Amino acid sequence: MKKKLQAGAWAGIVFLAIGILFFAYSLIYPYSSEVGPGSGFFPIWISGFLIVLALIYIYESVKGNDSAEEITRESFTKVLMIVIFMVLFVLFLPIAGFNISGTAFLFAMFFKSYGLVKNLIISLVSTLAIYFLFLLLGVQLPLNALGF
Amino acid sequence: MEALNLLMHGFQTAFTLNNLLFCLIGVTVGQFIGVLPGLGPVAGMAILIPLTYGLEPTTAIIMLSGIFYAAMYGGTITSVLINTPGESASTITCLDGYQMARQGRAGAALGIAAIGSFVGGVVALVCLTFLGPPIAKFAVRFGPPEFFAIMSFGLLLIVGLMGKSIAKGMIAAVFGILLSLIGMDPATGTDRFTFGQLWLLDGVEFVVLAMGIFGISEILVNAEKNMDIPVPPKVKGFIPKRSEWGISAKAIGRGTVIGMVLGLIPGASASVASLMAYSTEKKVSKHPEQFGKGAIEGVAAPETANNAFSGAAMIPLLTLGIPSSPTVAMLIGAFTMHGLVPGPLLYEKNPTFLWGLIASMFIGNVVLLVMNLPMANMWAKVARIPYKLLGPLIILICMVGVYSVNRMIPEIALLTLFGVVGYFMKKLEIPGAAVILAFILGNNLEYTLIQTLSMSNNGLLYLFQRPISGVMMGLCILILIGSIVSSVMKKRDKLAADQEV
Repeated sequence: MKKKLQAGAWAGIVFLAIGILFFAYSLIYPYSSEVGPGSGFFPIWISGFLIVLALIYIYESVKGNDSAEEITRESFTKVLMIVIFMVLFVLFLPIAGFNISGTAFLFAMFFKSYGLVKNLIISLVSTLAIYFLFLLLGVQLPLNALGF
Repeated sequence: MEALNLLMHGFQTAFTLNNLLFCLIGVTVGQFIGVLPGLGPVAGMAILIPLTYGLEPTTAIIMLSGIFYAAMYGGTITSVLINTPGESASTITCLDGYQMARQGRAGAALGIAAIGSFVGGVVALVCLTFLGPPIAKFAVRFGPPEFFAIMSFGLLLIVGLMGKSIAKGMIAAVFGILLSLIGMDPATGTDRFTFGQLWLLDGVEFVVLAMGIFGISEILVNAEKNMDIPVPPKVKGFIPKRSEWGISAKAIGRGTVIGMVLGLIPGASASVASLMAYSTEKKVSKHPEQFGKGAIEGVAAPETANNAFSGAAMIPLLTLGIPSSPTVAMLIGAFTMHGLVPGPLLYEKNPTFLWGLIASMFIGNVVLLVMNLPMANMWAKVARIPYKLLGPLIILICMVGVYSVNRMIPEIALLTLFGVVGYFMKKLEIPGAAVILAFILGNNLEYTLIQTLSMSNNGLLYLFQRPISGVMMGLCILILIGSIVSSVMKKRDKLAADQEV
């Protein structure tokens, strides 16, 4: 039970932080102009609402009214791995080009599901298929310095 | 009969080879997405929107709409055969559909579902054909206060209907509006909240947000589940028993009406429509004890309702530019991307596009009827494509798709971030659909609000002084009070699980 409360409260704190950040940022824009409200008017109100709502959410979670699903350590590790692979893909895309980073991404994702050889073939073929599909649609995906 | 004439012109547009081909591709992909558990229509559309960039606007929208209504057909197959809904609007069909399959009557269940879906879909389209023009004509006179009121009303309904806690729904909506504020301010042209990043000048790209919150997060959530699918039984014979015809016809009739009415209301979703159709059948039935044991009405009514819903949901979209569900919000995103503004002016400015789209939906429904009756066995096999293969591929296609929109690599990083955000939102039951809808409406909400305030001498009170916006704002307040009261009294669980994703 305790774990759930924390998850909700943490999310509330994140939203609170976002609200405060946008609220502070909004203050640099004029609240009103000659014709009516200025470009700061709407953001100030909306981020203000977010701050209030986040506080209500935190209060609800702490009180235990929140009924969210639990996030276990095991499932979180799986998700974290996928996210890390995605980030690596983004970092390597401009350097290694799509064909290499795409194959590497799929290879890493399929690692537990298929044997090495089968995995490599599936990853490579799928990546090339995607590359040519997008080429067909008029999108040139990034290539590396060697041109592939 | 002017509408009929225009529709005929629409058929001319829809019957060009190119449009016909993409309509076919759209409904096939939609059917595929509907069949696959773990990939719903919203995620599917988010993934496919970037692929339509190079297409003509009309062709692109014809294809994307095809995905929307076809998914409603496809979802039934897995519900009936393996007790796993392919998309959430078919969840309720599992109850009686799967029981029918266990009694060896899967064919009859799928047959009646396909027929019902067809009837519901086509009747809703007929309504769209004839109701659309007068509504649009009426709505052309709406000013900023009316649009502001209608948009607030739609948004509040979503927040009120979805999610267990009103606070979470409101947070999601407000968060979505905040995200829409990033980039150029529509009224003054100032760039806001860009944090010094040049690529944020145009704002957060809709596709990035939608793919992250619906596409990537869906796969992250499924990654921790066992997604193996049992072998589906063979399907034979699609004709229900003679004695069931009468009951089924009535159920289809009621399902059509319920689905259509809900399709018109902003904030309802296809799942709510099928749920309501099911419970109505159970209430009016002479043998309610049969429900859950393979009653054919329990399949016919909800399947009809979710298709009638998706047809009717096009009415507020095309005539007012208001999305009535998350899937329709995706369509609005696609409209905007192709330079089309959904709303009453569409009828005057882009009649060729509009009627071509409506005509294509008639064609698509016929194609789907054929696709679902004789080909159900093939589709059942599709559901068995292993998720461990599909999941990673979808992620890669999403990342490439996002890149293809603006050719900007930082946006792939943003996609990853929104994927993680969406994952936690799913876990914490914060409705992602509300974020997307609010994001879509955000800029217009601000713009119309500022215009309203500039027109007004006494602030927001002006909204209540004009009859239409006054009534809408009154309804908004009622919804707000109603949902706060119901959340305090904890009676929200019934509708809570009905997010359409």
